[in-house]
Amino acid sequence: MASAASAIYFLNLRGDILLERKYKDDVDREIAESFRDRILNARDRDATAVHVPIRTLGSVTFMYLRHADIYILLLTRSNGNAMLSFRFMTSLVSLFQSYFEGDLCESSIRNNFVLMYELLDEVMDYGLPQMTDPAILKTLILQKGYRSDGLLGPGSAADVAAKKARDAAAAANATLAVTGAVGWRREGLKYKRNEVYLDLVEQVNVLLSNNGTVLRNDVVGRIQMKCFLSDMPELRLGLNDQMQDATFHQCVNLGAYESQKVVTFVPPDGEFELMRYRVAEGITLPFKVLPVISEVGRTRLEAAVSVKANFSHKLQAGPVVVLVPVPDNTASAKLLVTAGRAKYDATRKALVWKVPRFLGGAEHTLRAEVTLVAATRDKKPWGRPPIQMQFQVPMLGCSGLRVQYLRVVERKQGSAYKVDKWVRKLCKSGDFLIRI
Amino acid sequence: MAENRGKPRGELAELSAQLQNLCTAGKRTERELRNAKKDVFKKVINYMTLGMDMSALFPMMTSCANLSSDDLVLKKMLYLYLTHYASQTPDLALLTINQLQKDCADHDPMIRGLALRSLCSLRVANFLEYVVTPIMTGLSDRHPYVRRTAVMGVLKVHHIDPTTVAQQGMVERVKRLLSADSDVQVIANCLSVLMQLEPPSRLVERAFLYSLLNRIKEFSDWGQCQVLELASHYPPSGEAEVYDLLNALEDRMGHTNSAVVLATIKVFLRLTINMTATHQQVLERIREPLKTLISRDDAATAYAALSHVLLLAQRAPMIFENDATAFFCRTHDPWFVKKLKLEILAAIANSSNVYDIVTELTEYARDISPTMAREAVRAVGRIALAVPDSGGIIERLLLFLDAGNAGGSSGSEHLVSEALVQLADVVRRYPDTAHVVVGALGDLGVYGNITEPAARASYVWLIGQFGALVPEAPYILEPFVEGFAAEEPAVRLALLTSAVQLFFRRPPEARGLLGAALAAGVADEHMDVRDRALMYYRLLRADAAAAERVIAPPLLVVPWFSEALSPEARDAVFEEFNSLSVVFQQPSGAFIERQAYHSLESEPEPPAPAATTGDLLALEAPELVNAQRATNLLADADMDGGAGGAGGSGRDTPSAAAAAAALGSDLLDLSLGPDVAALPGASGSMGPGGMYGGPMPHPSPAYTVLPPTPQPPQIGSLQQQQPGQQQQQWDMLGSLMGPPPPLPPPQQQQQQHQLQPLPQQWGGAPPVQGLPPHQQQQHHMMMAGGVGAAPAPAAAAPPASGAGVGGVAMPLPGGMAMFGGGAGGGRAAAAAGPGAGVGELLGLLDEGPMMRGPGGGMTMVGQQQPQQPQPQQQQPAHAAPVQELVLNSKARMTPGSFQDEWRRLSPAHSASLTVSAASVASLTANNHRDFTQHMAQANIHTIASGGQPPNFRYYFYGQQQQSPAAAAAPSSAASLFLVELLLRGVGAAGGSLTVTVKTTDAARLPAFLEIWNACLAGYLG
Repeated sequence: MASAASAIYFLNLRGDILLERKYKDDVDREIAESFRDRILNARDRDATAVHVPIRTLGSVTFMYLRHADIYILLLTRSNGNAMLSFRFMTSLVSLFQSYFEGDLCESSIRNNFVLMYELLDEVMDYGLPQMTDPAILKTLILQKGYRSDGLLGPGSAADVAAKKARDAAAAANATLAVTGAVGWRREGLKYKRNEVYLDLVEQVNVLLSNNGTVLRNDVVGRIQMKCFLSDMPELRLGLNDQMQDATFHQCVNLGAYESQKVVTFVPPDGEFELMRYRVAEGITLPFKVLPVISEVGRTRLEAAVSVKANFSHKLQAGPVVVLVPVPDNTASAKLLVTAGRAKYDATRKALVWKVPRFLGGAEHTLRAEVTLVAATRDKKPWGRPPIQMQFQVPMLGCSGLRVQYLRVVERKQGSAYKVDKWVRKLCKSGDFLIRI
Repeated sequence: MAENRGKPRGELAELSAQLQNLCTAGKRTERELRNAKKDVFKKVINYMTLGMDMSALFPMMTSCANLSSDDLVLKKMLYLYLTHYASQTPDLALLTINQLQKDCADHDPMIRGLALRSLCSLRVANFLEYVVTPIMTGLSDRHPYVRRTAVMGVLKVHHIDPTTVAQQGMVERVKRLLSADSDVQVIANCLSVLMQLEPPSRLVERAFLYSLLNRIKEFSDWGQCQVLELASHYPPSGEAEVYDLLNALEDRMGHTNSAVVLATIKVFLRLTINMTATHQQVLERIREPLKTLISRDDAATAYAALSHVLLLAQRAPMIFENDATAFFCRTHDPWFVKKLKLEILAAIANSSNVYDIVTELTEYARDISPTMAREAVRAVGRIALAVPDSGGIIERLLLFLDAGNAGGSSGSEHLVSEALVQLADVVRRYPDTAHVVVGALGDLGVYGNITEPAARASYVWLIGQFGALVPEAPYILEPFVEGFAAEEPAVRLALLTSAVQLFFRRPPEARGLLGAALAAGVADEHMDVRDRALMYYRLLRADAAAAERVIAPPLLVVPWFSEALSPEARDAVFEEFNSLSVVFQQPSGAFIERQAYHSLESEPEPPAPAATTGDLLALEAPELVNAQRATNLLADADMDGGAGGAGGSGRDTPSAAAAAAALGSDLLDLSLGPDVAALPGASGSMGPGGMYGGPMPHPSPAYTVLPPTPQPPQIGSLQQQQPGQQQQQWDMLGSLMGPPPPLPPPQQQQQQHQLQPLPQQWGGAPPVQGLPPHQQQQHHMMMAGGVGAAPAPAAAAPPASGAGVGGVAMPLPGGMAMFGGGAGGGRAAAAAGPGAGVGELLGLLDEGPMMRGPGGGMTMVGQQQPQQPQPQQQQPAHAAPVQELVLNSKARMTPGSFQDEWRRLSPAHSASLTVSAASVASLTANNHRDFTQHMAQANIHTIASGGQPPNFRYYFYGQQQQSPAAAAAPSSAASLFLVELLLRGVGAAGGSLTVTVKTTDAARLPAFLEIWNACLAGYLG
């Protein structure tokens, strides 16, 4: 029982239908409209249940996700495959983004709905996903997204004719491209200078207890590549085996990775995400945070938060933001910091401490005396939510994963093939929390 | 755009004029004309998208586009327009067929494919003749783009008219393509199409699968998912092969596409399902990929992955026991992700990780969102129940109580409430902890602070049950009793029970309390409360010792609490791994409406335990499926009942009556389970959830008592939920339908309640006294179904109950309603519909071996009565024994109700015969469709069929065609005949057919068998 979608809708946040593409006739527009009435605007139900991304009304299952200011909604009457459906919808988002050269949003849908209809016709047939790879589809559907007001720029007749000839040739090739071993890369690419950019972006998720014990930490990393390479080069990326789990772009020879732990691939042209990985062990935390928060009586709260950068002094962190939560009934706060600036933000119910540049090895502290409004009646005790921290540290790898080598081999040109290689690293905060 | 919506007429006229104008070139250049056309077309499509009817433009659109037919974009817009409106205006669409067919022969493969796809998508049955040829040509097109479109066309045609596909041999063509085509996308489409047309298990074949797996890297992500889905149905020949397959597919787990990863996981799980050790290794292997999926930023992916983890964790909690931290909530997780994580944490908690988990959950209890905080407390409660070493956990729960205490009237009431409810459950599970728990309760000045009925009820129950441990217990309850009428029904019920219990434990102090409680209870407006008060009162007066045994027995240990999903249902869900079933934690039957073609698609499993939630739930309120899971079962019964009551004639009388009888005997034990009754899970508190149809704010776990417990009456006590529920259903119905003055169900219920004082007197019942005739009739009707097979009790029952009714002077409006409501006799059968639903519910709650009995309610009857009713022997109470039988050609039955009936009824007839190989072939020919269609001609409908060669299984049903008059009388529902046909092929020697017939109407069985045999013989020749 393969899953099959019955229809895809694009709706704005109010639930108005922006685009409708039915693949089967077992659903109709009214069902999609009931999405607005019964899911988006459901008031009578438990508010928390509303945002579950999969709901069933009648025997129609609604799967939806939100992107920017739109909802993408997929309807099915079968026992669909949730993972596949969501993945399909996210693929659609990136497909449209790649066509629009901008974000997928309400206005871009309104400007491009004809193109979107064309694409929706190709990505799915009778509810079964066909192909969503922008690289291949772009050879099939050439219409550019309209960035502004949907006016076709004037072009000479010769242009049109030449384009048409190209279209026809490309269309004939389009699906053949899928069948080749390297569906994601066209033949015959030429660049004056061969360049490879590799970005290692790691996101640290940490939960520390108030005495500094690590309750949970992991690093979700991804390797983002930008390739401007001629012909059909094969890249070999050597990594030290630090990962708990990794997933790869379709260009990666997974068999070779399983056996030799070398990421071998023929890259697509341009920018793509080569792999994602997760590391849960051997993580060095970029910052150590020690909070001391004490409630003094009923109207005062004292906070001392010290942050130490736990990386080499050659590096420095970009803007570091520490959010120290304070009770709801905070009246004012006296703040003292050794670096950066701090203030009390009443809307966020937190002391916001910003340090624009945080040098490696440095230690800074925030001291605060918070005055609370004395409540006339007993208030709910303060929940002491955790301190949050946001930062970016360029060139720091905290997972212990290292790029050992990156080799580029082009069979035809051999050693004549010269490549400039650039590797960058970035360590970002994910969910970086310290309990108090 | 939106502002134009108001004046479609003006727009339509304008567009029409513009198109008309564009049909002639005029002075424009070709390019200008084209651009102008494009602009107008775009407008049309735009209005179409907004939902305005643009079908009137059909002729102009077509001629406009045909005049510049070489423009691809224009063509695409036209085709989009066509497919959108063709089914509305088939006559006009016919005009475009010609152009489409011409395009199907275009030299550009792109146009060929496009035209073919549009042609197939017109969805007009009359056009099929024009579609078939292009598809057949398309299937052998030289360009893969056209071929794959043609393959999908086959599926589209199949859904319009399966016979065309069969006649043209399209499926065979697709199969040939599948094995021979060079293009992977074509293969992937063939695979998708065939998997929709027949069960994948029939498709998967070793050499073919291997060739696919060897090429799997060439497939697109979606194609890989299809191949993996197919692989998951492959029955491996031996362990060596399993290992080969696992090795071949292991790298797929590193794929970036989460759908591929999960599909691979499914293959791994399914291949090793019979190899315990390897399965364990597989579970270890898939752990990390699953954790990666969970850590995705995208909440929907995480949600889908977590649903699968939860299923796995429930099956084998050990695999994730060291991964608790992976399921700790993140600040930015949406609520639905957090909720699943809490469920997983509760599922994987064991003695090694419980400290960490509970500590973490305690943190969540401080969450700003009360819902989240409650869920956290509830999770702690569940862990306390599940993990034996619960001392520390109970302390945590008690801390939540303190949190409420410390702050006085602070914002922590929700924590206190939830903690109370959980503690009540914990004490039932571990009575030796009562001392600690009740000790902490004593100084909880709750009665003013706790507003939630469930929490109040739990509190009252704890105080009553452990009154001996709380010195001031009677004085704690006093204020409750003083405000008796202001309490919710659940609390009132609990108060009654607790008052009696306290009375037995500390008579001098509690005497006044009891008197006040009973007085208030008897005067209460709520049916259940009044019933219970009266019952206690009489019991106390009649025999105080018996009353103590009944109302205040020593606390019964509940060995375990049932989950929302029975193990069988969970296995059924596991069968459907990587589908919505897992997300909803429901077998697919619960939320999908099976269409005709679905019945052939899946393996039949009528006796499956799948019916945790009746189909009715799915049809009526499937959104509940996703609501609080624990309440599902409760809400289910309500919905079930609502539907059963509203469309009462849908259920046949005997089954309803049987259920009613079951209900009746269940009610005999109303008095026997006060401790259960007092708990929030019991009847009263179920009310709110059921009444409003929505998720209860506060579901208490449904609990059950294992059959081997020493006191069988406790089982009955569990079922005591029924009266309350039925009451609620009708309250609900009543509120929907306007106030029906004599409520039939309360009446029915009332009668049954009257049975209660007489459980021992069944044999020697006094003769009928002063029973109104209609009443008697109604009784007869109700009892006949259930007890027909046991003549003595059947004879005795109505009089007994009659005596019960007549013998007690009832100074109550309810009693009046009972007598006055005879007119509702006809409706009683309908009212019993819900009873059947409830019976099923109870059957599921009771997870013991009884599970497989012919129906929950019936099983219970079996415990109460010496003789198990045999429904197939019963005579219809009303219908004259007419032997002829006409089957209803429009019989309608959902798989769920079929399953219920199948489980409920026992075989009435079985036979087997041997058949020749030719017959076997003809039975299975054409995907069994010929055979099932043949049977359908005799109005014997197929509900499911399937199996793997050489064994197949078919399930048929027939329904008696009723005369309109009979159909109008709700008491005489149509007789049902259910048939299971087992075909065992024995290679070339033919095979054997085993027929099992079950029926609700034994009288007409011979007539049915005649039809059946004639029909079968007719087919087999």
